[in-house]
Amino acid sequence: MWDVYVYFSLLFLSLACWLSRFRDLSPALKALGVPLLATLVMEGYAAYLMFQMTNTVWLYHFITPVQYTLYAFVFYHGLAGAGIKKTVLVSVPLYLLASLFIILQLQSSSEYNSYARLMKDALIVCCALVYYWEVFTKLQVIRLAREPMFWVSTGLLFYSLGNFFADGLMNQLLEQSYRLAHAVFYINVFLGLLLHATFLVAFWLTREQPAVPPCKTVLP
Amino acid sequence: MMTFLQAVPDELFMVAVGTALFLLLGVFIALMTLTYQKKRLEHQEEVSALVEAYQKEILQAQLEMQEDTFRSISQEIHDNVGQVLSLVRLNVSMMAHSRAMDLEQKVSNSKELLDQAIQDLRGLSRRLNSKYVLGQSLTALLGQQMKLLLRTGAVEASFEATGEEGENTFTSEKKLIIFRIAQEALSNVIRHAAASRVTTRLEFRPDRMILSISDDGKGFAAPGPSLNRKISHGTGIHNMRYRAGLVGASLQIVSEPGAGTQVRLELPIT
Repeated sequence: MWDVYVYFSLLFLSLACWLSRFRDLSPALKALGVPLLATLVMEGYAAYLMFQMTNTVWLYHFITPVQYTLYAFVFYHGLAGAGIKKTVLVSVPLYLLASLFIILQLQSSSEYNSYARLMKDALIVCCALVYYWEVFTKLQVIRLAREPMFWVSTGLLFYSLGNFFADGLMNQLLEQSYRLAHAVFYINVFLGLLLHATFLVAFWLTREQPAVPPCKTVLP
Repeated sequence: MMTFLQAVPDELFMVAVGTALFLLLGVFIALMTLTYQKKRLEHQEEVSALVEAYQKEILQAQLEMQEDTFRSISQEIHDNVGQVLSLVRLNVSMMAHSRAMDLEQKVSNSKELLDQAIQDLRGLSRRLNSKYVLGQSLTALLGQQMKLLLRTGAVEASFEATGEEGENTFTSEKKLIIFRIAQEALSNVIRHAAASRVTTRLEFRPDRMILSISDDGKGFAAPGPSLNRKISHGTGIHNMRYRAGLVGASLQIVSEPGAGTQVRLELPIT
């Protein structure tokens, strides 16, 4: 149970940091608050249902597409290339259609949505790698460790890469043993904590803009 | 250990290993990107520092050259123009007491002296114009410098230049730096060498420029790059080496007590 509290505390802290620095954030980081808010609301509801001993698997058939859509908008603002931005934007309706197809044809709402999650992980990994690619090819040289978008991309890359196997094999694990699946689920919990920690760093790194000093009129 | 591994279901093992591998891949990519960007940043800072140092040196060299020009002009006004005009004044003041034939001679002498003064002043005026100086070829600048040295009467000075057409590849900044190095070396000859003769050779080969300044002075010990700090600071050798490095040239100083000194600057022509 401790993991739920720690996870939501970090999520809440990230959101508080996002809100407090909203004025100084870049468009990508401003957009990042929306998936965080959506995750807080939807996973908060999922946690509530879990505490009520109700199955929450169906809820993730909706959470996953919403999360991808919102993270895609973060990358849309964070990436530089016009063609890449357009591709990210186009991937959203395609992914939503694929998710709809999966829920209607492949994995019903009572099953763990591993296909949709795998697709989301793969797409987010692609977006993060495109960000790295732009860092490599861009002429502008930046102090990367102080670049908020680097932390966002790195957090999402680790989260998506790390969850790939856990998400992909979850249905099979659930079929074998709930205990086994629960053990693997901790990978997701740990990576979730890491993800929100990197978001927190990204918000923290955004420096407050110095206030414009009042104009002084010097009389001759 | 084996028992533990056998107890772990295959699926769990696969997920754990796969996840670890993927995470390692992610860490590798992130670290590689970070390192690459850090190296780029360091390189950019190095280049900026170098450009800044180069600009600073160019400015310093310009100031030093101006200072040198002012000093030599002041000396020239005092030694040449001043002397000539004093003679003219003497001629004019003696005219009142001169006979008609002498008067004609004095007027003619005064005219000649005034022409010389005008010519000297024109030369000085040209030297005051920094654009004119920068527009001059290195050969011309060094030639003038050696003439000035000769006129001081302190040493016997000679200058040889070959293959001057190769000079066109030099920028005015590069020329200025080389000229300042030569001025520094010549100034060392005057101040420290106690030489009776100084020879400057400027040679342009297809692949390099060689400037050599040699004297028959008292020379000094500990030659080469391991010159002691005292000599290095006192004679501006450190400055000469630094400036040579800025334009991509190599500076060699060969000296022995009692056997004179040779300063040799080699600059590859690209």
